[in-house]
Amino acid sequence: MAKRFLVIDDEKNIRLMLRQLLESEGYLVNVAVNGEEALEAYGKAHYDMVMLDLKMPGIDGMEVLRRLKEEDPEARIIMMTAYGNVERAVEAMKLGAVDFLSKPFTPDEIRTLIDEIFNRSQIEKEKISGYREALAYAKKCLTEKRYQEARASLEKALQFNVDAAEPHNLLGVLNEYADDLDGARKHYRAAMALDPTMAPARQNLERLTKLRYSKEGIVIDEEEE
Amino acid sequence: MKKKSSSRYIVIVGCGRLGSHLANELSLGGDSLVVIDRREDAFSKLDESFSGFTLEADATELDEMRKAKVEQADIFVAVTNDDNTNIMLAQMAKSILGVEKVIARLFDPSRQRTYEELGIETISPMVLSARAFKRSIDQGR
Repeated sequence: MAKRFLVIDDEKNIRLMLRQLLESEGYLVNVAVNGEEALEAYGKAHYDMVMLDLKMPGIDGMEVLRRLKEEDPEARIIMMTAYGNVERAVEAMKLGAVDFLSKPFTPDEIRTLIDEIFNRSQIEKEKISGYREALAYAKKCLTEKRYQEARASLEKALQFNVDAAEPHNLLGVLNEYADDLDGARKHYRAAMALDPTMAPARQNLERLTKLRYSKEGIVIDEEEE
Repeated sequence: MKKKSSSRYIVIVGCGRLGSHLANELSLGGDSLVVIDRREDAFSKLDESFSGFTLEADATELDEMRKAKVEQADIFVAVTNDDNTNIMLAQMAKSILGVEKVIARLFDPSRQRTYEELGIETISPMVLSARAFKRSIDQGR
């Protein structure tokens, strides 16, 4: 099935250009002229990729990015920025954008980037052949805010090694992110039961059972101690 | 053509009557365009259907040329209303940024040969219209 794109830009010439280019590559393309329209459109259909302009009147690109990722943590969003605006682009990547393109861009640049992004997730999925890979991939998804994929990969890691404690700690973290504190507590306890020396799980459990609960200080990894 | 794509990446400097007309035509043909002009209001000459980038900048600054990713262009066109500027831009695109096909507009045809020796194609509107006039005159003979 053809992949669907959502192009969000207030400039008509850019929308036209991307539509022409992406359609010639066989993709389906919808466009939105501002943030409001984009958020509305995103709620109505599934999109494989979003191309989002950083600078727009009204709700700006960064805010649209934030809201789209909130709604769908797995959304693949490429930010389009003015040339040289690297700081903002980095900020966008931290918020979960998959990549960025600085304007103006050549047709080859767009094609290469899109292919690379689609291949990226494919290769990563195919590489998982054991406990370590599944765990590494889950951590990567976690930092990229792709929580659903992270959860699936952790469950896979547990299939490879049912006695592993670390996936339980991370599942606890994911549950906390989803505000499921009971679920989180259960996983932290499971991690502790499997490996009583596991510091991150112990710290998370202690934090979670404090009177004044706060997400501040979630421990994902040993290194972060 | 060095690129695999059918859509060429073309940079045009100067969005006057000639530059805008050329940009509109190429855009309709499916090419990917960047039009650079020092004045933002110059871009109002572009059609509604124009699908490309506009960049308000002084292209004689090498940094600005790099911002437009001229080094990745298949074709570079200099059509400002000043011969010296066009030639300077064309030389930058050719020798510094390595663009394969570079075309400049030249009002004064006496310098045409010099520039073509540098590998820069020039088009002189004066020579073109003189030819058209002559053809028309000859037809009536």
